[in-house]
Amino acid sequence: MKHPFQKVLLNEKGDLLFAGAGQKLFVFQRRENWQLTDSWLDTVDHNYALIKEYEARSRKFEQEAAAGDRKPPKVPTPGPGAPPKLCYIRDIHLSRNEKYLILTTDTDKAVVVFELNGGSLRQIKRQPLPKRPCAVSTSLDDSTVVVGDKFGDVYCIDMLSAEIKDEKDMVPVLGHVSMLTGVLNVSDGAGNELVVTTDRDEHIRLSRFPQSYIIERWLFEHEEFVASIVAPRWCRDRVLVSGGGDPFLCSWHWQEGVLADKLDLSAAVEPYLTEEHLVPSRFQNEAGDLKEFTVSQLVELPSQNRLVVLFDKMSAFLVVSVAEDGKLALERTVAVASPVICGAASALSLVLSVRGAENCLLEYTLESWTCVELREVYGCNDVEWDEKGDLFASFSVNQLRKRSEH
Amino acid sequence: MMSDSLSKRKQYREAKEETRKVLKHARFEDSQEVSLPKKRFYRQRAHSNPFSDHKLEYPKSPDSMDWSKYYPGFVDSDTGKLDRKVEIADIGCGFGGLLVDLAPHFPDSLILGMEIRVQVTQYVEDRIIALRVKHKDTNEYQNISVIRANAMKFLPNFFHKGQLSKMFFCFPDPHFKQRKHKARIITKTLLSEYAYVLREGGVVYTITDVKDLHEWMVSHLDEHPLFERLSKEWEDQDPCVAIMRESTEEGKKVARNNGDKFVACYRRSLVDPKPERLPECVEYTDDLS
Repeated sequence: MKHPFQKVLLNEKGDLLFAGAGQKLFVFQRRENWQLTDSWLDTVDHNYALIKEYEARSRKFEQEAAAGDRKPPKVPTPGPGAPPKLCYIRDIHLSRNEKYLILTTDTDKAVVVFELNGGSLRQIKRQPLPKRPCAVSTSLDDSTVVVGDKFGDVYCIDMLSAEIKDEKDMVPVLGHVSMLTGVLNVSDGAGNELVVTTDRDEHIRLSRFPQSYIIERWLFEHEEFVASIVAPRWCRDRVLVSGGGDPFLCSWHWQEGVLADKLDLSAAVEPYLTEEHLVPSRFQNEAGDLKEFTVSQLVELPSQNRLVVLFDKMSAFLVVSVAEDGKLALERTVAVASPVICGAASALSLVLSVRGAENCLLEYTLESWTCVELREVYGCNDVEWDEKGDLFASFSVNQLRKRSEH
Repeated sequence: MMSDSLSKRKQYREAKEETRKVLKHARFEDSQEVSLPKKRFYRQRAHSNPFSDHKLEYPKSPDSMDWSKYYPGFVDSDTGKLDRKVEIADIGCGFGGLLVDLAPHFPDSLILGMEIRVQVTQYVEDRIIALRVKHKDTNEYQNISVIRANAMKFLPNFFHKGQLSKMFFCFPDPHFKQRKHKARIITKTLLSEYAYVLREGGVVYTITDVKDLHEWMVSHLDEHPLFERLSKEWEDQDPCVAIMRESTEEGKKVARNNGDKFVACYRRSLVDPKPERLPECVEYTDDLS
């Protein structure tokens, strides 16, 4: 079976498509139709951390070898019972000026920066981090990559300098005591930059940037983890929209710190809930029919002043309009043939990666919401999936839900 | 089969739980006798993982927090709400020694202990109940309360910006291992949250018997742009420092063993620097459209 695209991204104009399958990134350019122009494979060993530790120990051993007759350190190998280590290109991100492409990897937990030249990539730097990166933004001037990790820390990485720090020497610029789910740099329209960070504990934090030790405020309304946050650019630096484990979306007048609107999605989503949305048995009700859904991604449609709302394991998406004052309104529900994994939009179209056996890439026209299969694009995907287990479980965001019993 | 001591402990706890249910939020108009709790029935493992998802109750936001049941003596009878806000927080209050000693020194301020361990929190609850009942004629100990909470994760859920005037960190878990350092209660990143809930001029108090941890806390506080260290002279004249040295359980234990106590106090600095201007970014936004 082919590995589906776990992450897709379009540029603003809609003539470049970036798609990540497993550890490989594909770059497509639209001329008459989509053509593969470049690709990049993450070749770093899955056991990067183990190997690094082994090398450090070996060096220490060689230095101290004269002092004693200790045994040399063993080459670490995961035991036969060790679970397969799934390594992906987690995030694909374009700088604001679209000159640079930023990836995050699982192998060495790195941020990789490429310079884009038409449809081809030139790697500029690869900066490993202490913990797995899971959220990326760039500063407003595109000089800095701002990256949040699973441990709740946020680091700044100079986008262009060749200097690579040892991950042990990296100092976070801010931190939550919770897994980060989003990082977003925004402008207040008056020349000040802020960084918005969201976490698994329902928090949305606004800090100054780069003086991120000054917290301006928190935005409170979510009762479950926040999975996605966007600053719709047609709202002129005034509004943020967030969604995640809650059955609603929130929009915020973030500069005042007040909720602008709240849109309940339950009714719209209800017809599309399947067995996959059943709550795990330990937390299930007596009838066994309790279901839950999760907003997995908010995709901006700037040409339409709308957002596309994607859900975990759902064969449908919603189109929601966002007024300049932050008012949210459900415009339509679009059914999809298979459950959606992820999506991306340009001024022209919406591209969705969906689950399925073949031709798992769909392109929607924005006004009519009709779609075509991007066969030639998916045909270029040569990444095979042969591991055991549920491939799609690793793209699920619903597992961020807290279910502690203690 | 349950051992004797264990079942005794269980019975004791069940009895106390009944009292707690009845008295926790009461104003004690009727005369009752409640004995001070015995610590040995509440012992719990000293460490708690601040990163795990405990089943904690915390408010959605500071505005949605109902404080009235924690400080029934300060409820405004017209509004049913507290007539003032919590101002002093003891983070990781343990068995509550500091709270109890601070209470008479700040009779007009509300003091809150935050503790992550369930049974230890219950001990403090029972201790406060017993003290309130015992002093019901003078209304003492109405100004202290305790809450089970993970302050490292949820502090901003409880307090508004600039709400607190004092925060105490007494004998925190040293987390000796290098890889556990993020679990320490004083880190550069968490200090930003403490600076957020502290008013300008508010004070962070730290005390520990672990020299390495003291140096760690000092270096992180020194590095943080929003905190400035208070002098030895200031420490010597501040009544809270004296109370902190003498009153906590850990403090007494260290004194019994003739151990060292390291104190460091920091003021939330008055300067809240304005962010640097970014002239390019206006030009840049135009580029995008």
